[in-house]
Amino acid sequence: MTDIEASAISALSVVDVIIPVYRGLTETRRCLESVLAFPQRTICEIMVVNDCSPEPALSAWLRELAETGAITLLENPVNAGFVNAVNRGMMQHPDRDVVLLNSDAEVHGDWLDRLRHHAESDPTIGTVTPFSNNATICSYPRFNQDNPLPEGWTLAALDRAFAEVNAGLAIEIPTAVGFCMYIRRDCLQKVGYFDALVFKRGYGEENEFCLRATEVGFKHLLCADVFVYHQGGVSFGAETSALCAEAERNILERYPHYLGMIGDHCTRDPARVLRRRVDGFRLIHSPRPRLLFITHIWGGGTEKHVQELARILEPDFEVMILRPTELHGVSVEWGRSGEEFIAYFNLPHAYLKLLDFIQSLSVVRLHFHHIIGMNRQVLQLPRDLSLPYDFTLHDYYPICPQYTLTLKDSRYCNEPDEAGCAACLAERPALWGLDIVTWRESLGKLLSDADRVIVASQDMEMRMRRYVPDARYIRLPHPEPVLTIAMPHAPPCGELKILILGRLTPVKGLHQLEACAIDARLRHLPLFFRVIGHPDRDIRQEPAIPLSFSGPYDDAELPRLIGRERPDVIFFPALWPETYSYTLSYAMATRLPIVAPRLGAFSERLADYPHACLLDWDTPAAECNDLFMNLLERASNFLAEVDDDA
Amino acid sequence: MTPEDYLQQYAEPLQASVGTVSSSDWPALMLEPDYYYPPDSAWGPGLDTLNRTDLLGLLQQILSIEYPQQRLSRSTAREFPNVLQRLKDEWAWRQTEIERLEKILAQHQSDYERMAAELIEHQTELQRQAVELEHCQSRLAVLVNQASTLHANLAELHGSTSWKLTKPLRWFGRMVKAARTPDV
Repeated sequence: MTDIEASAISALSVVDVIIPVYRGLTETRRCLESVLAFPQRTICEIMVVNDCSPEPALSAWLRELAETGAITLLENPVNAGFVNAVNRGMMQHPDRDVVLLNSDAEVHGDWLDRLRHHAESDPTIGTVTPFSNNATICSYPRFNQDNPLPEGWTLAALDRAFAEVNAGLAIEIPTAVGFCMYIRRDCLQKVGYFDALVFKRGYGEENEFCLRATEVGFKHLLCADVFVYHQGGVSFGAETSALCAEAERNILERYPHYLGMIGDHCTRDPARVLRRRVDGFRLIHSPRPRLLFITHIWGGGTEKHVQELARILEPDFEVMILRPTELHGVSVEWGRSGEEFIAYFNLPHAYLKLLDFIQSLSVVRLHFHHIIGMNRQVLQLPRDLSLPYDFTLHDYYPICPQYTLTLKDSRYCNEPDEAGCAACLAERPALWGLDIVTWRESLGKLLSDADRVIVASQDMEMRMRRYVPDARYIRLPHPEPVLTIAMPHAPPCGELKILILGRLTPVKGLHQLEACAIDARLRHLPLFFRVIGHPDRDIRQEPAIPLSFSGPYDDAELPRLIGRERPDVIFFPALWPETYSYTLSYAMATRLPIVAPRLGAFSERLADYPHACLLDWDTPAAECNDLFMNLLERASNFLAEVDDDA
Repeated sequence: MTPEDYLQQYAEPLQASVGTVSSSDWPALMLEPDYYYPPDSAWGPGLDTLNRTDLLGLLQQILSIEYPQQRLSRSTAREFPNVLQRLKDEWAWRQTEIERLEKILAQHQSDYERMAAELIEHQTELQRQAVELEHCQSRLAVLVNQASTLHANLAELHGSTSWKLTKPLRWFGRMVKAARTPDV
């Protein structure tokens, strides 16, 4: 048989599109309407198997549609289960390829022609699965996630993007995903149908089928130029997770290597390249101006600010985030929520590639948030790209390589002269091996050349102006929603519970706090120190001293955690001039007494707070405890005042 | 500051760029596959992204190196998954072996450093003892010198006339001392 004859026969052969239906009139209508809306070059018969739906409206609508001749309707007199319904459809025509399409899926364009093109590209191909928003290893934009459609993108636009960017591309996958699965007839003939005995109600049957097919030499493809929408969980709802777990057990009994095979595929994630191509297409076609943030990988307040700023900019801008990586490289990720795009550039070799990439993105502005851990080449980006830039200061890194203006003992250094700084650097050298003069010159110039240097507090601006007077500072406290924390009333119990918020490091007062707790133990004071957060190193805790830690927490959880602790006072033992302090915002929302150092942003932020008590930053632990004892005596008065205010 | 107020002030200088996005063609933004995987990752797109023709070409190249007299046939192609698996297993074994040897190397290096430190300590002690020995030797020389001087003085005393003249007196003295000492 010649190729032309084979192609002609192939064009004439019919494909059955099998859609098992049980629940969900709206979803089923959308599914069938999308299938019927796009005529294909492939001749196909749309075969709907109504598995005795409990929704009369759905059954009635299907019968009406069948009467028009648009679909072939098979009706099960009793509910036979998803797998039996599918098998019934597949058995109708034993010479046809089939496509299994879930009734909560939607298709677009010549989806079937493209699927079939891949299926016929090689006789060893058993199944073909398209990309979808909700299809585990075939998910987009995030791998193995249940994604919504990307904001601003319809199914039609997204499918066109896949078809254009990934035209003709496919990769091998360990198993097909059943929401939309093309199965070649010769595969069905050699492997058999789905195992309805074990997987009667659905979930896992397609995986077990694929494993059987693999054993006899068939391959499974992810075709990268088709995107099919899949809502997921319509027929089984809350039962979905239980069915999945049962399916996994059943598969592992027969194929113990299954999870290892899937794990290997997920680790290598060969489809990533294909997803990234579509990400790039979407980025290029976004009408929003692009900004590039430059920050570190240390988390904390800087990361929180970067993420929050990216969120509030989402409606109007595309925010890309550049961070340092291992081995002196950088990564550039798409900062929009729900996106996965990330690219890695190994510096210095890939610096030109990085420049090309940023230029191709048409970035309009850079925004430095932090440069710690960064390859020095990154500082040249504004010049090499001829782009304006802003610089938000989250600490004192441009004037102090230790970034917190603290000495080796983690206490405020009182900002000595250059000789003092040189002595400090001799003990703890600066990044890139620079001396203090060169450091301040080079980073000071970066600040001076910035369009705006954004500081969150007046204290920080004053300190920075002493070193970099000619920078264009603007004062913008970090954006934060209005916080309200309901504090349950805690009657006095003869002990003062002192709450400390956040991850504690020595500069945040870890050792000061430990000293307070030791003093309280030695003097038998009725004080208890409780930290919502964790220490960055091992220190003594309860029962040795009256101090305990709750462990790491998520910011969204903090109001609830504070309320649960029912503290009497909130304490900030910081030993460096804080530039803003997010945790102070939470503390102020409680309206509880706050004890904080008279250093950094605390003074100005607490200036109008009615229950603030400011201490010298170097107040000894014993004196702090004396203050707490004083507060304990006045605790009932404070609580009464708070109640009155409320 | 509320997010709305912040956005208003932050975005003010950016307003000029809104609506003036100059899009380049999408292929310009496409990177080679390696750029999408972390640099420290041992994984990458690997063979999965090669199409069948590329893969067969690659196998043919491997064969031509390994078995120059053979051509890739269907049967040898079938063997390749097994060969590949064996290579993967061997690679995994070698990785384990490398890790094991690295641990041993690290242990030896640590032993070496410890022994080097001990050696330096012993050398220092040896130098200190050598200095002390030298000091003792010079002191000994002084004492030997003093002893020979004293011997000479003693010989001179025994040979003197006064010593000889007082010999009876010393003999008489010894007699008196012996008489006074009771017999044992």
